[in-house]
Amino acid sequence: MNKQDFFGSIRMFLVLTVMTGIHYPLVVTIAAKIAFRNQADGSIVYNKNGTAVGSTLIAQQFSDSTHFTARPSACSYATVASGASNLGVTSSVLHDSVIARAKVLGKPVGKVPADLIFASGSGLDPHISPEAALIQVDRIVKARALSGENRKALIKMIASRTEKPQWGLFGEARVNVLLLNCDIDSMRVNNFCGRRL
Amino acid sequence: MGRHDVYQAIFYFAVLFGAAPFLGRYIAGVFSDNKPVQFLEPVETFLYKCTGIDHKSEMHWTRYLVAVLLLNLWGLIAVFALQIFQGHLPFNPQHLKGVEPLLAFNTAASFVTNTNWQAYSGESTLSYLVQMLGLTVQNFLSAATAMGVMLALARGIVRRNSGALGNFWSDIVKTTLYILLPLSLVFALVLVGQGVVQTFAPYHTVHTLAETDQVIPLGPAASQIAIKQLGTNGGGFFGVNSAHPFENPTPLSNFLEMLAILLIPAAQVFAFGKLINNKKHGVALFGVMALVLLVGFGVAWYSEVSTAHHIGVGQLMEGKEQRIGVMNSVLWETVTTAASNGSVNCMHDSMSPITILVGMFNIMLGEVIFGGVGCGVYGMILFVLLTVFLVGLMVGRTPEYLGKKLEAREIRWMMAGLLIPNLSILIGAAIALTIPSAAASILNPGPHGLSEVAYAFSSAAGNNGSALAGLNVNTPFYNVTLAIVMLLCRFGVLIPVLAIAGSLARKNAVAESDGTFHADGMMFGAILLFSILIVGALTFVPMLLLGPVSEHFLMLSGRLF
Repeated sequence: MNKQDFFGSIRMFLVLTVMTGIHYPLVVTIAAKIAFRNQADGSIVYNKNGTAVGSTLIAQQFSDSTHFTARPSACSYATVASGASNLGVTSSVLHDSVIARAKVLGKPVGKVPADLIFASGSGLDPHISPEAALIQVDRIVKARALSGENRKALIKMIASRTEKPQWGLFGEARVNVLLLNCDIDSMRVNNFCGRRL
Repeated sequence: MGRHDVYQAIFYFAVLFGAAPFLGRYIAGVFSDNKPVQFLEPVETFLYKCTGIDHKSEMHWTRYLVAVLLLNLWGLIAVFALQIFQGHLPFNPQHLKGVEPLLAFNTAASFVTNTNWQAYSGESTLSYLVQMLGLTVQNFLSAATAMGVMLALARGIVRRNSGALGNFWSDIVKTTLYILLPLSLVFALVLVGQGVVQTFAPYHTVHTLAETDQVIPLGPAASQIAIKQLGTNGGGFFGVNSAHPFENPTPLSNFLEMLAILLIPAAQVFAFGKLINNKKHGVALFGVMALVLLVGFGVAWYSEVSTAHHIGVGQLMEGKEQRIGVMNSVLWETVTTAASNGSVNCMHDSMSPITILVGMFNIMLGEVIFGGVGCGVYGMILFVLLTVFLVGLMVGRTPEYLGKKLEAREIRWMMAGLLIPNLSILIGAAIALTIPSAAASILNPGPHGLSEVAYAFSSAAGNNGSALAGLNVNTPFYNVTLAIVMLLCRFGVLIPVLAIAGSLARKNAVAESDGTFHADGMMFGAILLFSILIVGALTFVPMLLLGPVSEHFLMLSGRLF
């Protein structure tokens, strides 16, 4: 090996490091901030007072009965770091937790939307299926003591928050749980006044 | 298995297979000797001026190899050092401490070898600086390195009575400037538009509707995710990889990332055919790869759907994301294991046993079903040499490959290149299973536990990087053994390929005769396919029977562990 090859390799490594490790992410960051500022910063949702209440892409834990709950999370919705159960289909632990989750919803396993009995991959799945939202309506109506008319309004809300497969082709229909819960919190009905967003 | 799913799958393969020949032609154009694509020549000249490198001097295979090893060595040292000292370095808004040395070694080996195996979660372990200056850089350089070796092999096949394989520095600079960087820049911006984060700001604390605080992890993710997919690296910015909504926020981003995983690996097969002046050979390789990919996907998808049916649930959604759904999760799993990418959009550990088998088998074949950038083709050529050798034995002629006689020297190197990964998987997994503390890392007991360990060593040996992530691998044993396997199998394949390239380049071409076996067409494709499957089957069937296959039958009989 000659000296030139040796030192040349070090210089080449450094130059390529600067180019791909500094210039490249920097250019992407600047362009992203100009073109897609909100997304680049984490798709943060603010309430009327300007307080950040979450990110549209990150699930939150809703354990009270007045809100729609997100998908089960194996990491209890921890964000740093999040994780999945990694349990296999022959795991008795998975088997038991699926039955327990269906029981909470008061239905047999086969009658519950799969996304509500199985924990998500990220532990932070922000969406549920439209069926998983509808199955929670009765519980929320009861907890909030909503009238029949408001029950219809609630179902309408789910419909308007339902995102169809993207471009009619990609992925699954889904409802963003945080945005849906923001909607119901801003609904004023039967003396129940949620925090307005 | 609704109609909607079928349309998506067809659309995916149509776009991929439609785009590959065009990108392939462009890639071949970048490296062609006459009239190359060179609109970035001023940048190239500037780089060579800065570094004092003579990019025109031709390299013999040993000099080419030394250049490869040096670049990789600097990468290894840099990534290791950046992690160890991250606590004292800037761009660390979360004030993360230095990474523990064995984990840092594992991660450095992992990213230098294009494996991107991750025994850590990025958001809780690595500073923005390490992610950019360490990992993103290696995402580019490891892909470019393998592309260089593929180009050297192509030159070895074409050139006669020479020993020169081109110039490594010129190859990696061109790969980076003309292929990886432009695609990554555009792709990263599209990803941000879909919701992938890209910022240097510290993590954002929000006050949730349930009146608690939630920390939103951030970082320069889009720039890394773009190249992690395009360069078949696969290392996530966040721990759960592309299942994380910030890495893969929408169904569209999912589609594009899946496309990016196989785009260059598929295109380079056509580029290779063009560079060796034998497009038909490229088409034959492409056909074999596409066939294995499609059949694997079909089996995996059917298994995932029928398993859900058997268990009595609508869909198998454990470890999957609602926006992505089952079909796109299975498709991604097949694609990421076929390409040596290794990023995941769902947890493979929670998939049905046969789906796991398909992924594991894709990796065990040696990452030649399109495989990684550069290495997919050169790994496949080892199988092609085996095929040609077997055919030669059958008809009693000296085997020839594209006009070059294959002699004992090439066959020995070829066997080394094929055996090193296979032996690493079998021996590595066997050792892990016999050491109680290593076997204790298994999460899912029963046959699934064997799958977890076998998958880990396959993933390291194939430089894939995906995992059955229930296995706790951040232990001294796995950090060290898997790092060694990754390095051994990266260079244990790369070195034989360069040696073969050097040896082929020195030979003169033999004239074609009636008895010449042509490396194209159905006959060649069929024999190649069987050679690949037989090597894979003979080596791994016992392991696969004891792991995923037994789990499948036990599951059918209702057994739980």
